Amino acid sequence: MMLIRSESDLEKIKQDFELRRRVRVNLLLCGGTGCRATKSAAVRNSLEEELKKRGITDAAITLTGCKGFCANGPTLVVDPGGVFYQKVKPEDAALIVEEHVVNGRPIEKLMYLNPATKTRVPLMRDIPFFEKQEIRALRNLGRIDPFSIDHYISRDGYRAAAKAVLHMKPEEVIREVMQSGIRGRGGAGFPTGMKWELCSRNPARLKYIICNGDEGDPGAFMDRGVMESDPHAVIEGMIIAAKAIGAPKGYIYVRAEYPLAIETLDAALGQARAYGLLGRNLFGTDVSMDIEIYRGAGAFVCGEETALISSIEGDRGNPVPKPPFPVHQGLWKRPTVINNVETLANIPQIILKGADWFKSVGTEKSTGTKVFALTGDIQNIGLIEIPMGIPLRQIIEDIGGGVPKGRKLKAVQLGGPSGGCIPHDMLDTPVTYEDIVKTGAIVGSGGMVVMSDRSCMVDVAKFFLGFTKDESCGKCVACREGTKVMLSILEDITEGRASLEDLADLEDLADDVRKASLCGLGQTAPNPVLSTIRYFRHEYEEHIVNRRCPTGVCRDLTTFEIDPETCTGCTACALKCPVSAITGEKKKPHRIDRSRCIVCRMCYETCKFGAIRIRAGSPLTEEEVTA
Amino acid sequence: MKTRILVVDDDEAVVKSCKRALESNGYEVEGEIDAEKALEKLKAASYDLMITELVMLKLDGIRLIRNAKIINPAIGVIVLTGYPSPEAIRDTLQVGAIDFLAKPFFPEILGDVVGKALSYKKAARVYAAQDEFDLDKINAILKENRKRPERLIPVLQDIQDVTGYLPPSIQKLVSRELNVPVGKVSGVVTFYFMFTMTPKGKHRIRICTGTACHVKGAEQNYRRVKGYLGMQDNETMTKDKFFSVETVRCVGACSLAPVTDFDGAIEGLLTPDAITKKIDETRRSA
Repeated sequence: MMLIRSESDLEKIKQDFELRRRVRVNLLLCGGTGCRATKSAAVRNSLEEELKKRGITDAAITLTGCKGFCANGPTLVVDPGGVFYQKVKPEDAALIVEEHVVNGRPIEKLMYLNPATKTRVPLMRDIPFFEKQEIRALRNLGRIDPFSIDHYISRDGYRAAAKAVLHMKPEEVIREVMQSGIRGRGGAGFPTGMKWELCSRNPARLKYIICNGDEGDPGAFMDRGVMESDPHAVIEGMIIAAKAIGAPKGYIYVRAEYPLAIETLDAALGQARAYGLLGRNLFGTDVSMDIEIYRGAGAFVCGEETALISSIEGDRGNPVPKPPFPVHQGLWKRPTVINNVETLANIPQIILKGADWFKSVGTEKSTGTKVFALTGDIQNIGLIEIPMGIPLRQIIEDIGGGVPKGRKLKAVQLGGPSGGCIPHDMLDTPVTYEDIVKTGAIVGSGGMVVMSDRSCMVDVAKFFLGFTKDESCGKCVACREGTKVMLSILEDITEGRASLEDLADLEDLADDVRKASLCGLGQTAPNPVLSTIRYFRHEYEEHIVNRRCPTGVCRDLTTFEIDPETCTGCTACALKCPVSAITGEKKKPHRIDRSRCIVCRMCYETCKFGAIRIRAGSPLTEEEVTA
Repeated sequence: MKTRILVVDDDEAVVKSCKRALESNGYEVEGEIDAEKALEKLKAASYDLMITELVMLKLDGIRLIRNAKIINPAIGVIVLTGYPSPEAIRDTLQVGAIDFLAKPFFPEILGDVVGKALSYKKAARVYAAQDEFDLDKINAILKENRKRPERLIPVLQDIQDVTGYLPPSIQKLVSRELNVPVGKVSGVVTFYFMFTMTPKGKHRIRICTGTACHVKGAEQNYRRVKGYLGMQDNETMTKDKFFSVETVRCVGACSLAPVTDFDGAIEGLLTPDAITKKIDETRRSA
């Protein structure tokens, strides 16, 4: 195989690739983790069969990475034209081939249905979910086959690496990144250019660049999307970083929970090596760089950079005090730059298109775009990329399509276990590093979980604290013991044993844990508790004083009852009840036998008429026990 | 039953001193200065361990070990030599020696090496007895990473992919092969969420407990599955070892929450009913 030495080599590969791929119709089927779960492999097989059966040779199927619209998967884009189909089933293959591929007639019933206008939307970019986004870091998601380096090159891939390695001095690369104003997308928001500058100044000969793909925040999958769908963008970003700081060796630290990301990255590294884009003397210069994948072992704290370094060195992932910062003394005591996946995926375009292009969106202090994983109680779930600085409301309402019908928005959780909840009346907060911090949450790595009036905020705080308690590495007493005690107070609250003094203790303790912990995990662990107390104190008080969970989530504080006035006797709840605690005749009000009820919430979720009422939990009366 | 050891060396003084040192440790020891006669002894009786010199007049140590392994595949071998070249060490390890001891040595060191070799043999037997472990695969992984302490985590991951869990015997083996203290191996195993010391069922159900799944009712699913399979709170595997039920930190398929990983395949938008249906299907197809 030829070695790539210059831009013209890249151009040649691009032209060859386009020539090879010149087919009349191209079916871009999503093969990301989400769509695999919704059986896109079966769809692919039946599409292939259909094409073969009809002897069609001028149509090709490309299995792409995640398009970000996973809830409507498997998704399929048909080029030319870019017609977008969703929730494609294997049975639909015949129709797609017959109508669209052969006759060129798009199929309306498989298109996206705009719930507001009740019309079908043929093009991906016109779907409200995509319309308001600013796709940059995610530009190749769903557009290329992640297992083909040529496909990446055909979309101007590795051009930036060529430019940086062949025509730029390290300080020029750093200046460009610095001027773009890009800040670390992993959570802390440290200026990337500054990090590179600090490391490049170090005269050491051996340095390391690490890509942090240990996306541990539960409810976040931005980095998974990028690694699975556009692995070469990350590799190219690392090559540019290597040139800038003078690091001949890189690691990509990926969570073991992302097997598909590991598979795609592994394949991508092999292809890049074959083209000489990794290894010795890149582009015929004296720049050398190779990358190794390191599989994480499931410890949230390893997302913290010093813990990540301990983990690569084969140790328990315990953080160590900073300074020395990794840029001075990191992996194997060598200067090390650690960048997040999304940060690195942004780098090639900054080099190719310039800092001014990058800054053309966003605000002064938060430039560019940010990818979020929008999940929870919301219509459109998926990966989104937005210009920094737009208000949260625009994300929730325009892109996300609002909360499902009949529910009300309660809060938006940002930043996972280190972040906090932003209540519904603060939705006009612009999404920038500075403004989000003021609310008590953080931008974080980009997990955005929307909660409706069915979520209990005490339970949410308890969930995150349970997570950080488990994930505390145990080094600092405040974090190890503090989170444990905080969790037990929260359990007391949700199980009806707490007093108002306990709530005050909880706040005090939160402050102590924040101040007396070494690393980010402990320092931010109290955030979910503090921010929910700040905005939803009444909900905590309702749990404590009235022993009642207003949303019926906390089982010990909840009794479900059927309101005989509203119940239509449709029997839906009785059918769903796993313990047959609901009885009643058809078309007559039902009732719940409390002695059998396990408070599983099934009836509450099922009832379409709102007839299930939530009452405070109380011991069974004698009558109920015998009944 | 006492542990039986055979010591083979041309030099009678060495045989005698080894015998004396080991007998004082409570082992039953026989000595032999003629390697060919030693083979006869191996055929006549069963030994747990053989300690042999590498360079001998009648029969060289490598051939003696090969023959000894044919006679009794379970025998453990420790090599003594006055000429410890890297080639010699490699050759002896290739024929399956457990350890290597350079002359001269103190009796205490011999006692220590023998003790370790015996416990290693025992550990090897523990995992060999459980036919579910693919020994060849484990050995291949270990061989590739010999004496590379920094490879500890990847090695444990690869081995757990083969065995499903990491019992103490395997941790000891890894410690030995990678040259990492056992305490550190155990420290790493207990630190990371992914590593487990309890066996896994034939089918693994891993319920995602990420934020999105939590909001969408992962808890209900978990309780239902445990209840449906009749498992206690602290149990992770069904009594018939058919299913194991675990939780997993976010698998990143939040759009389809709540999700569950069935034997590596992600199933999304799961209701408790859908999960129990899936469990029934898995049982039926078994």
